[in-house]
Parts: sequence; C-alpha cells; structure tokens
Amino acid sequence: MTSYISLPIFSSSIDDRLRLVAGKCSSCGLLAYPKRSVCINCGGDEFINTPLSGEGVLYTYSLVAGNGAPSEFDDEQTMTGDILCGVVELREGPKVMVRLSEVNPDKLEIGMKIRGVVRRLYDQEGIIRYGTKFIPAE
Amino acid sequence: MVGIESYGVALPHFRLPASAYVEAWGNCSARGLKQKAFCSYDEDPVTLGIEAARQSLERIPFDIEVSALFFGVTTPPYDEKPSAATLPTALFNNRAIRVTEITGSPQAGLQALISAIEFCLTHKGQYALAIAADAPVGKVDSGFEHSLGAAAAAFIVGSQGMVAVYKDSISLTRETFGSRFRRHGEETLTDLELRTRDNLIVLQDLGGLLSIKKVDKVRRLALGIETSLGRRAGKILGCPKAEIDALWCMIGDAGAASAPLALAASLDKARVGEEILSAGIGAGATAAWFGAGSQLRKRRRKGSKVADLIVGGELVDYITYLKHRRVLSSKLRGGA
Repeated sequence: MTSYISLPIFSSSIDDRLRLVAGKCSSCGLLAYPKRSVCINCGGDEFINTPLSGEGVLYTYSLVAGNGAPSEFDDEQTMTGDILCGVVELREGPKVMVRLSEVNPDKLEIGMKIRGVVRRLYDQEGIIRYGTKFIPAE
Repeated sequence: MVGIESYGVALPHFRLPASAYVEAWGNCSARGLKQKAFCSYDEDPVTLGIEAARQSLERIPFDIEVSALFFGVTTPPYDEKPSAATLPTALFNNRAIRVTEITGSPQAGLQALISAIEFCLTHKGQYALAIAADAPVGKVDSGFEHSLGAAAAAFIVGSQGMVAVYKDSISLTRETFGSRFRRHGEETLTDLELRTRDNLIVLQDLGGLLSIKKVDKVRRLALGIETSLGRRAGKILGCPKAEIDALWCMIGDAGAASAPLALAASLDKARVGEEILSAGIGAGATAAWFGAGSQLRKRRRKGSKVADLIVGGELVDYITYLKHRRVLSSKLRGGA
C-alpha cells in the first residue's frame, strides 16, 4: 500500500513542507496548516501565507510497527525499526500530524516540547522528498 | 569592513565510537579517532546545512534579507539539480537570492565562506550566507572509511563583522592524486592507498605563503585536518603559540565541513580581538583569517556550542551504523 503523492502536488506545497507556511484566514484570522481552500471557521476563501515557528508540544503519538507503514517507508522501517507518528500542538495553535525522529518510544511523553527540523522523508521516482519532522526540543 | 555577523553549527544525531570498529574488524584504522558523527537514515548534508543555517539566523537579533547563498559540499545528493536550491526554500520566503554550489574538494566549505565574503565586498550593505555541510562515505570494507564523519557550519556574512572581522585569505592549488577520489556517478570515496605526504607538503607550501602575511598575531588555528598533522600545523604555518581547534578525533573527517566547523569551535571560545586562522586542504589549500568581533560574546550566548553538540549525540553500535547508512539495504545498494 502506498500514500503516493505525485511530484507536482508535492512540489506545489514545498514551502509549506520545508518552512511550515500556514494559511491565515483574511476574514477571521484562523490559522490552517496544511492550508485549505475554505476556512473551516468562517467559510472565508482568502488566506495570507504565515510561517509557523515550528515549536510546540506533543499532543499525542502512535507507533507504526513492522509492515504497517506505506510502502515508501518500507526500507526505512526495515533499516531503523518502528516508525513514530504524532500530533504536535504548535505554539500558534494548529494541531498537525507529523513524523517524529531522534527519540525512542519509551522516552515520549504527552506535553513534551518538540520542534520541527527538515529531514529526508523518503525517496520516490528518483527524487528525495524533503519535509519537516519533529524532534525533542532541548 | 566585512566579516561574519553570526554563525551556527549542526551535527547528526548519532555517534559511532572507534571501539565499534575494533569489535567489528579487529582494529580502527583511523589513528587517534575517539568517535565520529554520522548521518541517520533521514539526515544528509542538505538537512544538516539547513539546521546550521537556522541556528545562525536565530543568533542575529533582528531580521535580515540574505542576497546570496554559497553551499560548500562534496557529497550533494544529486550530481545535477542544485541541492543549494533546497536550502533557501527551507530558510527564506525571498526568491531573489543568488545560489552557488561549490564542490569537489574538502576546501569547498571554506571556499564558500570566502565567496560570501567576496560577494559582500562587492555588494556593500548586503548579506550573504555561507553553508558548509558534508557527509563523505567510503566502502564499508575499507579501513579508510573508519574516519569519515559528518557535520555542518553556517556563517552569515555582512558589512559589519560583529562576530569576526575578515582580515585576509590565501589559496594555493596543487595537482595531486591525493589520498582519495570519487569518480562521477560513484556513491563512495575510493582510497588511493598511496600513503604520500601530500597534506604535509601542501601545509608547508601554505606556511611559505603565509610567512609574507601578518599572521604572527594569530592565537587560534581552526583546521580541517587529521589530528597527527594538526599537532604540527602551528609551527608549519608560522603560528607556534596558537591554540589548535581540530575536531577530527571527535567528529571524524567531515570533508568540506571540517575547517568551517573548527572555525565555529574557535568562535565559541575566542576573546574579542583575538585572531583566528582557518585552513582546509584538498588538492591545495585555502586559509582565511579573522579578528574576533565586538558582538561575539553576546551573539554566541544563544544557540548550541560545538563542544555541547559533540557530547550530545546518541552512541550506537556498528550494526545500527550500517543500517542507517543503508549499507544493509538490498533496495538502496548502500547509497547515501
């Protein structure tokens, strides 16, 4: 199974992925990450690009055990073991589903401070897909 | 006046102790090596470079607009498709940036810094960002591989030199087969297995050129060379009293990032006004020297120091190292 994202789609959101650029609703000010075409709060359809700090706390997490991840992560899972996913509550408010890195599952605690870093997410079609993962903030 | 306005460093998460090679192979071929830093599965010179650059930007207490970015690296992920283009996309909203990738030699990191300085000398009042990041790799059954590490350092260059004032630089080029090479399309370095004294000769040539420059006030040498040669470098370069910052024994050979990382370590400790000379070697040599600036102590308070990052990594065993290097992967053929 794969969660295939085509290169044009991936490329169109590259700023969002590398710099955590959210959309701020011009009408009500709600931040949306990932960006949306319509504000879920007021229905507004105009947004201002707003970079997020990348700082937040771990809201919840989950461990994807062997063979449970999409196929683009097969090799990573074989080489490095279980894959950690989580939801980060960013300082600016949005809750974002993320990959976690540089931490063992037994060291994870709800509410711990984490921060975003750019990492290689996976290789596909000969292209390295870079994006933001989260690691413990020291 | 032109110089360094801020700097930042990044090391990979993992450390491999030299003892891991002794357990696996019976010896560690990198004499003097205690441990090395290496990239985890999701790290590479691009991700390290972004992290170092972000650290350098956070140390500046106001927003700046960077006009040029110079990336020094011998192991970019692509032969064609500038990895340097990924860096500003991850760092800035601004697209009006000149991006240059410098590669092919461990000198590349220091050359990127000098290019940034020269850009600012000809573009008064503008800022440039120099990023040196590298993760050279060798074949796992070569002893030469034992020394190869990874690191990154970034420097914001501008017209004030708040962290370090640029004094001068010097370069020499020498056609040499050296100790290692990597042909086009190859993923790993090849050890030429010629135990020549090339690096010593280049260092002596550099010392000859420096003898006509005013480097007698240099108090710190930031070197991207192995420990044994580093011990003799002060005398050879004409700065016998200088304290030497060479991180080879704790980081490994970080290629183009070695000398810039040593420069960052020197800036972590230097007193205001102290002169620092940084030198990198590879088919010749490049040296640049600086005077520690008036805002150095203030700006280095924020962010990580090199010494803290060295001890902060996670020690792992040899099998974990091989897995993260993808050497055991049948899908990726051990490529980085």
